[in-house]
Amino acid sequence: MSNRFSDCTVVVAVVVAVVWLTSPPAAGQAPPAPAAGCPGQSAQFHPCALAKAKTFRPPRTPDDKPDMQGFWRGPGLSATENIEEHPSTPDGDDIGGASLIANTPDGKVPYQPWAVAQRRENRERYIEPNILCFLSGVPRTMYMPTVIQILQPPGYVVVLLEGGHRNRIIPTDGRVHLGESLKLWNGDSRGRWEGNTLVVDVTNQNARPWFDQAANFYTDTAHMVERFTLIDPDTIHYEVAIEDPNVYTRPWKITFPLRRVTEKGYEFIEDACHEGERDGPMLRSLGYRPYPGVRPGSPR
Amino acid sequence: MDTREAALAELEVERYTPIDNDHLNYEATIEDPKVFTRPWKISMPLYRRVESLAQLGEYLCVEFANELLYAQYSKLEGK
Repeated sequence: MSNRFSDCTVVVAVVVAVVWLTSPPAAGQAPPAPAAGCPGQSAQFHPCALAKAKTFRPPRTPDDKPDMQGFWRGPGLSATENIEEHPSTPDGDDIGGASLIANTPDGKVPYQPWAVAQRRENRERYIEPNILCFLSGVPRTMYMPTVIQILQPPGYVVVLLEGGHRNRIIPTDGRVHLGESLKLWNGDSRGRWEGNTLVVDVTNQNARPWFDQAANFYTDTAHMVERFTLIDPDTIHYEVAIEDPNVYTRPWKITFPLRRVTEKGYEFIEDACHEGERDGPMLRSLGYRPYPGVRPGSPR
Repeated sequence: MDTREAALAELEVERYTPIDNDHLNYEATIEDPKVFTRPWKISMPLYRRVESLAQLGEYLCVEFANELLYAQYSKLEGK
């Protein structure tokens, strides 16, 4: 998953990344596949899914919550390359894809000017955190190119990832958030049910993960609210509203469909993120450093 | 026979048995005739955490952990 760079291609990838920053998006990129009868592109999928959610009656768990249990696939590899629209790269390292962003006019992250410069600096100085097998953070955990499993024991929603054996355990029993000073890679998640929607409030971010390989980022003042809603038996509308007054000019949203994996008897394989991973030391030898997290005005 | 074959030949059966509201008995039977003279067991109680807000901590096991934690204090990184 996160280790798809081989030792040699990563150098090429860094060079290509710089070129691609100044190139226009490639034309003729295949749009994401439709889901539940809605267009696959996030900006169009979002309103269509909201409308479907009004009429769909989801199956229920024994404790009478909407039943989202099972295996699901998110938007695939391109999302974790870059949540903004991006072309495939000539070396094939990026497959390219559409924007994952639902509600900004240009489909881009609404950065403040300092943050645009910071994103560039992130790429130039730091090792993409996933390469070092750190936790992917929220929301990136939800769109890693891997299958996820949702389980709903009473009082919890549990999200397991096949890739890297990662997990999120989301209490839905109304408990309060952890104290503000405790900062975590995945933040602190607290869920509640609003009608047929699971709403998850995420705070306490240490902000050391990135949104993607393109170094899109947030800071430790970020507040995120996720919403999971079944819109047909095999599709979840996932959205996350992101606020961080230190970084963005306005709140914004990522959205995409989670599609049910329908293979009978599907079972996770065991995936160890670190097995055979050698890119970290190589990148360090080239002068890249682990990303420490940033704030506006952080020394560089 | 190399150790890999030995590992493949191993049979392990786990049993989880509640013994009251807050305790489980855990037992595992290990059987591998190529390695052991007889089947044998480990057994232990598992205790329920009873704090009302008990939750698992976030755990991050990363290779080169020392370097990642302390690199800023080393000569290479301490600039």
